Amino acid sequence: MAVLGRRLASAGLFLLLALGVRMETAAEPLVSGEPAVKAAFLYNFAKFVEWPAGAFAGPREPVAFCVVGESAIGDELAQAVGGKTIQGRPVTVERAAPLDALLRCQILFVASAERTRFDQILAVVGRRPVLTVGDDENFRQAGGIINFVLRRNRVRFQIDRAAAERAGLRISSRLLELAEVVDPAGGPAGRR
Amino acid sequence: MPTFRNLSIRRKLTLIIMATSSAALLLACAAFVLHDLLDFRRRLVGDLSTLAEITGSHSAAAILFNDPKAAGETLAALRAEPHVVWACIYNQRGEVIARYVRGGGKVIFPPAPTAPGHRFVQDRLRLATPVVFDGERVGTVLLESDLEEIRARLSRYVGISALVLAASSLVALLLSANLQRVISGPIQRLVQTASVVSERQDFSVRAAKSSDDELGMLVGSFNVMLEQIQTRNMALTGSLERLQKTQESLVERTLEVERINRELARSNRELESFASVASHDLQEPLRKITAFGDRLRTRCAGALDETSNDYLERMQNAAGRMQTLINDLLAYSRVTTKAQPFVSVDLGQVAREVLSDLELRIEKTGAQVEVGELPTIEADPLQMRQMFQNLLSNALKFQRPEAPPVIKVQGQILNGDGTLSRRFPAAFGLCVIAVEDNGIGFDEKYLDRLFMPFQRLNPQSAYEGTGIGLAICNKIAERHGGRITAASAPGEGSRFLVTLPVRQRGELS
Repeated sequence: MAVLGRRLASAGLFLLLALGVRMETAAEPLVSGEPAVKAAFLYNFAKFVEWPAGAFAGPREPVAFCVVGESAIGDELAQAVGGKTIQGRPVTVERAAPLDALLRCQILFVASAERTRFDQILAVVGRRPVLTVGDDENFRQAGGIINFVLRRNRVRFQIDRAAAERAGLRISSRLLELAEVVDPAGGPAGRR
Repeated sequence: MPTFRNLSIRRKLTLIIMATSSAALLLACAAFVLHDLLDFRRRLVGDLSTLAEITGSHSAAAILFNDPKAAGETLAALRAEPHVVWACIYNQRGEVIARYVRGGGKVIFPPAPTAPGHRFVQDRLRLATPVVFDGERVGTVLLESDLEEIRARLSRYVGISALVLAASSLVALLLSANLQRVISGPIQRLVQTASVVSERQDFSVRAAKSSDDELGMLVGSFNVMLEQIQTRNMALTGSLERLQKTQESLVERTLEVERINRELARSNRELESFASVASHDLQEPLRKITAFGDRLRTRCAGALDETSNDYLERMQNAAGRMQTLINDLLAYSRVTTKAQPFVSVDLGQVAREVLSDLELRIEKTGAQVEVGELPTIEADPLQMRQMFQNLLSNALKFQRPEAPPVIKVQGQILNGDGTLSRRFPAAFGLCVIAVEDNGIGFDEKYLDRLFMPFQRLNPQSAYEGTGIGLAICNKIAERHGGRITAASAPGEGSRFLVTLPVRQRGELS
C-alpha cells in the first residue's frame, strides 16, 4: 500500500511538472502551436462580425464554419467549438467542404493547400455575406477578407475592409484595431 | 484646582450646557462622517469596478487575439486615474498579458484571481473583475487603488468637524452665558439676600421674585420664612426688654425691701431694748412711790382727813396699776429677749398642767373644760405654757353672766394639700390648736385690734386685765413661725385658732 501511495505521489508530481512546463511554454509565442492559435482566432473572428439580415435562415440557425482544403487548423477548430455558441447561435464546422456547400457557410477558411484555386473558390462565394479567411499572401490578393500572417513568431492578421464591405459584412472596430489594415493599393501598411 | 462639585452654579450650568451640546454635536459629526465614509467607500468600490469593467471590455479583443500591446495600451489609459496603483489583465489561461504600474515601478503580480470581488488590503483596495465577451469569460482585470481619497476626505471632515465644533461651542458659550442667568440669577440674588440677613441680622430684607417657577416658589418660601423670623424676633426682643425692666424693678424692690427690713429689725430691736430698759428703770421710782406711800399711810393715817386719805388711796392704786403695766410690758418684750430654744413639747401635757394651775378658778366659775388629743411639736415649752395660760384664762374670764363656761381644746393636723386630719404624731406640716368657749364673744370688725398690746375691747371695770395677753400669744405664734386668729360674734362665744409648724428648721436642740 505504502509503495503504491508513493508511486501515486510521484506520478502526481510528474504531472504537475509537466503542466508547469506546458504553461511556461504557452506564455511564449508558439509557432509549433500555430494551428491551434489560428483556429482560436478563426473562431473568435466570428464574434466581431455582423452579418446582414438575410445571412441566416432564422434566429436560432447555427454559425457555419467551412474549411476548404487539408489543414490542421480545421481539425483544431472542430475540437475547439464543441458546445460553444457565437452571438447566441450554435456552431457547426464542415471540413473539406465541397464547393457547392460553401453557400451555406458564414465563415469560410481556405487552406494554403488550395493556393491554386483561390480565385475559383472566391468566385463561388462572390458578394455573398461570407467571411473569407486565408493563410496565404496570395489569398489576400485574390480578394479574401482576412489573412493570417506571422510577425516575430506571433500570429497576426490582416483585414481588407473594402472586401468586407463588398460582402456586406460589418467588422467591429475592436477587431480592426488589432488587425494590420490593408490599404487599397495592395501591400501591408502597418497598424493604425 | 476646584472640583466640579465646588464650582458656582453659574459655571456649573455653563459647563453642563457646553458639555451637552458638544457631546451631541460630536456624536452627530461622528455619525455623519462615518456614514459618509462608508458611503464613499461603497462608491469608491463602485467606481473602481466600473473602471475595471470598461478596461476589461476594451481589452476583450486584445485578450482573445493574444495582443499584449493593444491590451497594454488600454491599461495605459489608467494614467488618467491617479489613485490606481497598478493593474493587470489575465487571459483565459490565467497568464498576465498586460500590466500597468503607476510611475513605472515594479510590482509582483499575484496569480489570477479565481473569483471576482474586492477587498481592502491595508491601505489599498484590490478589485478583480472578469472580462466577459459574448457570454464567455475571456479573462480577468485586476486593479489596486490607494485610499488617499478616503484619507484626504477623512482629514477634511475632521477639520470641518473641529471648526463646526469650535464655532458651535462658541455660540453655545455665548447663548448659555445669557440663558443660564434665568436659573442662576435668582439663586445668586437669594444667596446675596441670605448673606445680608445673616451678616447684618436684618430680617426686614426681602428677596425679589422674578418668575413663577420652582425658583420663584423658593424665593417666596424664603421671604415667608424671613417674615416669620422677623415677627418672632420682634416678639422676642420685646419680651426680653420687658423681662429686663421687670428684673431691674425687681432688684430695686428687693433692695428696698431688704433696706426696710433691716431698718425695721433695727427699730424693732431698739424698741424692745428700750421697752425692757424702760420697764426696769421705771420699776425703781415706782417701788419708791409705793414704799413711801405705805409709810405715809402707816404713820399718818389718823392725822389725815378723809379727803387726804382718799387721795393717798388713789395714788396707791395708780402705782399698783402702773406696776402691773410694767410687768406686762416686760413679759411682752421677754417673748423675744428671753426666748428659750425649741424642743419637743407634748401640747396635751402643757394643757393639763395649765388646767391644774387654774383649778381654783374652774371650781369657782363652775366651768366645764374638755381637752381633746393634742400633738407633740417642736416649740419653746415655757411660751407654749404661757400661750395656753392666756387663752384658757381668757375663756374663763369673759363668761356670760348666769352661764358657766364650756371650754373645748382640740388639735388638728393641716396636711400639705390643705386637708385637716387628726392623725398624730404628725411628722410634717402644720398643726391647728382650737380653743373654743361660750363666752360673750366680740365683733369681728375689732379683730385687728384684738392682738395688739394694751388694746381692750371691754371696759376694765367689767373685766380686769391690761390687754397684753392676746398680744403675747400673737407674738409667741409669730416667733414659732405660726399665726393666731379668731372667729366670733357678740354673745355667740369665741373660737381661737393657733396654727403652728410641727417642726422647726435648724433650731432644735
